[in-house]
Amino acid sequence: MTNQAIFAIGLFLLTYAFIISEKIHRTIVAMSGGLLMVLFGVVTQEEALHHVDFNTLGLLVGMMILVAITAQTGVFKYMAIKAAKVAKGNPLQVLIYLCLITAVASAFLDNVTTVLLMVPVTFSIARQLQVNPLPFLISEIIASNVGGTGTLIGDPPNIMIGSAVPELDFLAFLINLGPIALIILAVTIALLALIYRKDLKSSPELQAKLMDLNENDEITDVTLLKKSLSVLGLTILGFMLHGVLHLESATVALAGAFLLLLLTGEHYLEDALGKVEWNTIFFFVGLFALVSGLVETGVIAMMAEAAIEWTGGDALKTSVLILWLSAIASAFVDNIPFVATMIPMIQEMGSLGINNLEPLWWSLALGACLGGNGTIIGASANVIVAGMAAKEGHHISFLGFMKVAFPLMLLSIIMAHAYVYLRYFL
Amino acid sequence: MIRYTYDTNQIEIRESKNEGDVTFNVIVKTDDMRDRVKQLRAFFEENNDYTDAMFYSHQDGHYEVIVRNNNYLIFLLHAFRFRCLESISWT
Repeated sequence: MTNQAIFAIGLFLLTYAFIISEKIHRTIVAMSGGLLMVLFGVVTQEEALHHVDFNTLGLLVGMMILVAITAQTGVFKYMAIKAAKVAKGNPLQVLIYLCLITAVASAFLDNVTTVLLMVPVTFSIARQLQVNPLPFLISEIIASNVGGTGTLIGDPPNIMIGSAVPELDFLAFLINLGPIALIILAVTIALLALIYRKDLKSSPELQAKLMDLNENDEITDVTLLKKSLSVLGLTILGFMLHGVLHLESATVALAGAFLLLLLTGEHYLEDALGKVEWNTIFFFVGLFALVSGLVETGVIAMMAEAAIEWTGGDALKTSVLILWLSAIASAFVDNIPFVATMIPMIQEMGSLGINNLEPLWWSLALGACLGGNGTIIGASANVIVAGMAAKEGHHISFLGFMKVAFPLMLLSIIMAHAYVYLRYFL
Repeated sequence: MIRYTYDTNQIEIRESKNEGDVTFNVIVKTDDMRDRVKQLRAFFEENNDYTDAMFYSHQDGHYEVIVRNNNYLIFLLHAFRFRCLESISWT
């Protein structure tokens, strides 16, 4: 192993430790780590930029712009209040419906954006029913991660995998991960309803008051709503066809975003760009540059060789290893840096003799997305909801969340394990 | 003690205290006032505090606004700013 490789490992581990410690903002840490790789000559600037996946970044920016404009129409508040009324104000049923909305929206928008939209209206409904909002928020976090597992655009790990492996298009994700995500979602929501059944009680008077709400008044701009939903529909259709059309997913998302801006006019431009989470975008850039140091110095290749040696090059054993390793690792560290490290490693496994990498990619996606449910720091959506809840005086403790979510996460991984085995190896 | 007045031809406000917040039941009588209340609502919904003032729109057109105790004065000041109130004073 060269000195540069040892330095790259040291810098990588140090950066990872700072990300986990949360002492400094993760974006600053990741960008600093990436820049140090360049400053110390581990990689050149050109090599680092070559490893930055602009398709992932473009997809995220495009979807953030689309959702920022659509959110202004009030459609998400409309859906949440409508769901609460369909549930007749029964808190337990409201929880189930809000979880379903969160999961579906997470699958077709992305889970981080979805929770940002769902949390405010959840506080509003919980206050109206005078129930603790935490069961709703915790359930929505879990539902968002499960829902996001089902599609290419649902969760950052999937966006990264889909971008790195061109043959895994939107439909491939939907066909391979959609069914298991649906099964896990059904089981998870049923268990969450069982867990929280005693905590969610409201009076008939409060439920009647909720039933009297006028959801139509939440729609602020009908013309904008029609334009937003039409473009959003077209964009999702574009994702479904992007493989056939030979278009990258980022092209579809950015085309959708700028078509909507074209239709709505420039007064939405500044606000929409302001709502792009640039923190997240630069976090990705830093991580890609950081991982480039491991790739260029051959560390990733060595790790792949070690994994192949350990599993004897058997695809099933390697898939299972990736699934469980991803799940446990993603529960305790942010799943984005983990996936950024695993992608080049799996690519390397292809050149080391594993012919069919597809089950390995699905195992990584399932492990990283579902594993993110293990703890409150496991995925971006969890951290964001915890932050929003804390700001409103509702603290989601690390252990409190883990007590509910970790067993559910383990159950989901057991189900995913069975699915991978039955679908790809039987 | 804070006192406020409003034009009863345009708006009717009833206030009731709860444990940690205050509920305002707001009946809007003119379209002009409805626009102002909507501006007030947009202001509180676009800030980063999700529970400072929560607006609920009811079937009969009246608004229920639940305002956290520590935001009581801020809410009234913004209601004044958007001309939903005519005056605000300390006694």
